[in-house]
Amino acid sequence: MAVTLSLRAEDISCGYGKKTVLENVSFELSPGSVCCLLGPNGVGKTTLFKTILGFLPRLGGAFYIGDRDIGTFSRREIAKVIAYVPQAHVPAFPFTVEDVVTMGRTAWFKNTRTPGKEDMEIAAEILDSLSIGHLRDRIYTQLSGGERQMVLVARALAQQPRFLIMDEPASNLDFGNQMRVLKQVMELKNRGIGIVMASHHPDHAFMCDADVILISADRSVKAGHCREMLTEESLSRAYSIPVRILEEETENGTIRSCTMQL
Amino acid sequence: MMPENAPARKSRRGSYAILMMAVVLCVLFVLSFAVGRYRMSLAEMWSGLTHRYEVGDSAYNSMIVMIKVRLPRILGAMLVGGCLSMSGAAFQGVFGNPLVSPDLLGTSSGAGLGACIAILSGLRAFGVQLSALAGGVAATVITVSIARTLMHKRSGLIAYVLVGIIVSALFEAGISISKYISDPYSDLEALTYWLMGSIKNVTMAQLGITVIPAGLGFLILAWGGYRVNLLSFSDEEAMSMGLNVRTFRLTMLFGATLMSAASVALAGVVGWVGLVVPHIARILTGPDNKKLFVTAFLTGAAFLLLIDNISRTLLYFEIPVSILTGAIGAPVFIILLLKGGNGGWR
Repeated sequence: MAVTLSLRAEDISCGYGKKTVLENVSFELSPGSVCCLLGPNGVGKTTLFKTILGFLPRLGGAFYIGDRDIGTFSRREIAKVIAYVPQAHVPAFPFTVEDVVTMGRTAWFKNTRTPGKEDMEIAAEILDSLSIGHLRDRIYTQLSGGERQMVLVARALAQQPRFLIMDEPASNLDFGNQMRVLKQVMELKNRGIGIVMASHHPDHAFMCDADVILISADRSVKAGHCREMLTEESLSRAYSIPVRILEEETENGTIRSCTMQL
Repeated sequence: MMPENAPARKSRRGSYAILMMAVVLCVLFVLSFAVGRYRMSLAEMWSGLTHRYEVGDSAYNSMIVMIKVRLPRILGAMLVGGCLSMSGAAFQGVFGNPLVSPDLLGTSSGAGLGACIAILSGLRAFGVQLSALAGGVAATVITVSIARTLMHKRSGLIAYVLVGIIVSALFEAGISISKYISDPYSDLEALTYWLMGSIKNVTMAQLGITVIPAGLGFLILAWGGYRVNLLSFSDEEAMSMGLNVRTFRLTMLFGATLMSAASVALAGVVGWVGLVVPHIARILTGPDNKKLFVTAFLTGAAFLLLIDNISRTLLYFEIPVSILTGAIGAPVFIILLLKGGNGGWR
């Protein structure tokens, strides 16, 4: 596959059954970039993700991996290109972290096989690269929320994908863990992985210097770079509250942060 | 913490469990020939198998008891226990829920009604068995198809559980009607006895036709075992990892249903094995379904063989196995629930 492989959404409409939730969403994601999906609760961020990943049928528009429509890919082929990082929840069975991460390899081996030595090595490498090598033999169900989220990132990376789709990876995490996950997102970006990330914090988009898809409460969709897209005006409209953006000059550039005076 | 150690150690855990249960099962298999109303020592068993005998001498009697009476029963107990247990493990894995049993989708009730209809129609043995098998599969198909149309309204397991309960209730009603209208001097006895679950009257010929669906189910589950692990997570995660969840889940449910329906068709409704034994097996293997399924089969076979041995030796009359599996299974399950964290699930 070409190095310049990118994801391209053209006028996607999505929703459940016959009920359309979002219309005419277009964006393009190239490897090594981060795109942040922002918008209030219930506006259709998760619906959009589910549609992109093919969990829900598309109601309109087209979605391309490179120049091929995603509809022509099998599940297994998609899994080798796009991986999904859901919000961590606890499964019923006590798999070890290594078990969970090697599950990400499933798309790469035949139906009759189970993960081999090579897959274990890939898993170990990924865990180390995320600095969670020490969790390898721990029971996944017994980890803290932050640790579980990182393990899910590791599982997604075990698919050796070009793109990651992350559904609010930082929600339910304490401040420190949120920052750790974002730092990891930036490292993955620098490794050439394209990332689409839903978030509840416009700050996250600023921190990652990301492209933004901003869905307002009235379901209008706008896309662009965070510095142009995220203004006090646009955020105020999107979330229906008066938003202030504070700026602080540092030697490494400008830090921007959103807040609101109560 | 060397990268090479953990995989080797972990795969050994599962393999040890399989090996251990295989040995336990073999020992139990041999010993099972010796126990019962007609006691035999191992030496007598040996002479029954190896000596030339005359009709009526003790070696001949030993041979007859072992081959004609006990062998079908022992194989029956192993097959039924193994099928129910592996099927239960598969249901638990496919639904990502350790509290699920093989009757979840109405298989047992369906098989029960199938058997009732056959008995009322004057059929016995094969007819009843085939009709039960068909009934079990039919009930499951009905449950799954209704549940799938409900899927967009309710999340997966809930839809299956609800529809399973409803379909079971319907088929149970059919069973009740059958009992009500049956001739109390002939059919009712056969019916009640069948519904109670027993492997007493299993014949080699019946075993022969049970092995086909059971074996097919076994192969399907063994083939998909590893990927059932992915279903412990949400369907969407499993899909994103490259699994075609809908087709795969249906295939696994089909395999599991074949096994449980085959066993119900052979021996009637034997409860608790499919719910409890997978938990015991999971303690031995850990959660990996690939190893769990095979271990569950061996453990279930050994468990029911043991229970059947108890049922034919404990008292002067024979206790139906289903009563014993309930009497032993239910307390074991409570202990597992109380232990929680160590029961192979969180």
